[in-house]
Amino acid sequence: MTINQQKLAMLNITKSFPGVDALANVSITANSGQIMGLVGVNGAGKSTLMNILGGIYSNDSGKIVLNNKQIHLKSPNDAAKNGIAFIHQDLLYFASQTVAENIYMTDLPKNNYIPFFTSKSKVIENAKQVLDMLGSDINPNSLMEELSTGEKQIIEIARALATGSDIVIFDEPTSSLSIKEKERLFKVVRKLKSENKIIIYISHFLNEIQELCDTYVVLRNGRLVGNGNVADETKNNIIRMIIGRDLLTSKSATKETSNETVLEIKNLIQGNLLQGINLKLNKGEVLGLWGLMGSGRTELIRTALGLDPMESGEINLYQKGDTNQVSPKQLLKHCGYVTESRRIDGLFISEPVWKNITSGNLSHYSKGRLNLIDSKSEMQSAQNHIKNLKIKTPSHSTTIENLSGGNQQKAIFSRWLDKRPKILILDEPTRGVDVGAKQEIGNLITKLAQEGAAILLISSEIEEIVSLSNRVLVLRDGVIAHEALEENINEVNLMSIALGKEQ
Amino acid sequence: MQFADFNLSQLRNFIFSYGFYILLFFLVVLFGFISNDFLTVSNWTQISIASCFLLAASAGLTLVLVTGNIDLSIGSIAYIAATVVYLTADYHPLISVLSAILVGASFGLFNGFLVAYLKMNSLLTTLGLMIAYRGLALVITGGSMHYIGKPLASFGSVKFFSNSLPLIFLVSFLLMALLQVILKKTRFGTYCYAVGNNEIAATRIGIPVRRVKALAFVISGVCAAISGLLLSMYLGEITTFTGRGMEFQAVAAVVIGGTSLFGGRGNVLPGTMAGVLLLIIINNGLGTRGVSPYIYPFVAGALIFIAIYLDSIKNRYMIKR
Repeated sequence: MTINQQKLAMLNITKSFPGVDALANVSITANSGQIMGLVGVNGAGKSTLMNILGGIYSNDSGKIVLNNKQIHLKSPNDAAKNGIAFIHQDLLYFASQTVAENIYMTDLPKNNYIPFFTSKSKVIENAKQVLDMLGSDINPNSLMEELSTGEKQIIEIARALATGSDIVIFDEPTSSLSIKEKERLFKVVRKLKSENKIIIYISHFLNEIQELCDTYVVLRNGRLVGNGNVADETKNNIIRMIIGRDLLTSKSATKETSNETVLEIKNLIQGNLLQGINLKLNKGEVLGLWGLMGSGRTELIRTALGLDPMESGEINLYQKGDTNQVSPKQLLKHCGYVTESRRIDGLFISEPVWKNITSGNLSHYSKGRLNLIDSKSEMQSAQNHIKNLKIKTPSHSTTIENLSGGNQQKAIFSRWLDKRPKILILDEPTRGVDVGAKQEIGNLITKLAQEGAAILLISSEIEEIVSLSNRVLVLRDGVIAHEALEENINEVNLMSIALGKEQ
Repeated sequence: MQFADFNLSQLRNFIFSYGFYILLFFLVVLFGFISNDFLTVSNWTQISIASCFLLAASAGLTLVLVTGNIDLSIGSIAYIAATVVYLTADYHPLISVLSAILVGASFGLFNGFLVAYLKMNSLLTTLGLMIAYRGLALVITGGSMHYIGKPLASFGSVKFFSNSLPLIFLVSFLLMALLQVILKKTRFGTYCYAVGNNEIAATRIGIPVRRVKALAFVISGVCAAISGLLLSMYLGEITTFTGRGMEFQAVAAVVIGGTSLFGGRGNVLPGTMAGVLLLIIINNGLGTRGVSPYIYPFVAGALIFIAIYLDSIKNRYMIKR
């Protein structure tokens, strides 16, 4: 029996984007019949590397060698021609069409009798074979939109198989799957392995890597920092490679906080994403919410504020000794909310700076019987904010579009300073902001808390969480896995818990 | 039937899928009761004649909508095709027919080129071309009425089965059947749905998206031309009213028939046919009762509103899933 051994090598791959070196001289090799785990934090370069292999990006230098022959991948089509299938996180499918059509879309079998016609029975038969091979019992006649996310993913794998792909890349495939679906997926991936495919599996969950993969590759800041056999390495060592330092980041002084709860969320549930979240937010504290992508971090905030539907749960607001149960949408009215992507849902991008600053508090500036807006006092207070926060802008009437990211973000902060809500929710408050402004915004957050605001801080930058938070909740798989206090708020500890290490 | 198993979402799906067929049936019964003339053979012959022009044009439009685009130029293409019939009146009827269809195909190809290859928005592109094409035809006809050749006009009044089934309706029906088969049985048809469902995915997995879109517009142009041809054959003349406002009635009929404005869903038979019949039967039924003809636009407008609202709900519901 001869097994067709295949070998894929990416050699000395370098790729830079404007201002960022995404990949520096990275080399990996993968063999057929093996599952290679590709790990690293967000922004480590995993996706960039795989996008090069998928033909979506082109590399600046380095080469890709398949079975001792160099291949050139200029488009996703090139990748497909070379037998490379990329299962993206956001699945590609055709909702109103059948499973069978989705699998064989580009290769619909011809009808033997009537020219131009396709054969419905043949496509279903073929689809059934592929699905059988994957050990799946999905009905090839069902419509794609009737399937669950996990099933859709299996259909996409089936499409890769049907088009004869030898290399299958999975990009964080379990991020939206239930535990059962996850097990089913693993079975399918192992099946592919036994079919002698080359499999590259991107994940930041170490348990998955340990359970599934044969070899591992760790990337950090665009560099290869470790590789080898999964069986030869301890989890702790891999975590160390991922984080890259054993040193603790020193905390910027933790102030005493009060125990006066302002907001309580009880047993918040939304599908598989949030499985019963309980949290209390106290006056004068910065509560950090930490977790990896897919842990439910963003979903928690979106659900609590009514931007996504809530299945069940209770939200209590405590004001002046009264307890009010409120709906998510009502909570949004009580909070200041600095959103994750300010250009999309934070700024009025073509409006002047002063209007952006006062827009959250217009009732304050409305005067007289007709409640007309007093623009003069609006501009006056905007100018004060610009001075206080040192927002760099030619004038208060400059269109906010022309400001730098950091100054735009400061303008958004001053919008909430103007209104002074008791609760502030900050989602990635320093994303896309330069180092100096980052420092200023950090100081501002600390100051706001000291002045009595209750702040919920979400950030994907662990340094930020560590240096600003008084208390950190670590989310994993839709539950709060750990509450870290004082000296336990350090990078190694938070990262280990988020990656799946039990306490 | 077990009522315990019959839950709300099933009911909703049922209404989304079959609501307008039920309404159509209900209307036929209603008009049958309140009007003695409605359920007569001669009236249904009348209905079939009144509907066949819209049927032909809507059939092609359905394909364009399935790919997620829209074609508002069909009424004007119908007028241009009729103009071609007038220009070729001195030749053999077959030459008139073929040249009208060829002209429809070329105008459709131009639409398709702009939308698919130059990536222009189909709504505005075809809205502009609707005006331009009609203007072109007006230059040719001088804005006046013209008779078409006798031989071709004589086909317009041919009826089978003791004068009850008009040839022009039969042509429209066969055209619809052909398009339904193309949609459901050919690779091109499957690609139409795929492009309408998810254009990005279609591009990524290697479907020739631009060619599929362009071909849908060509077919729409051909169908519009056939519609204009049938109308000129039936009337024996072309007027400036030929095809005017047909695009909006056709869009309404197609959407009422369950084809989504968002693309990816719908069919010609029975969907679009039912949509056309619904519009025509309301007009006809009100007419046989002697109701003021001015009420018709209001009723039809309300119906279109409901259909588009349902389409939007349906689409939102699908996305959520």
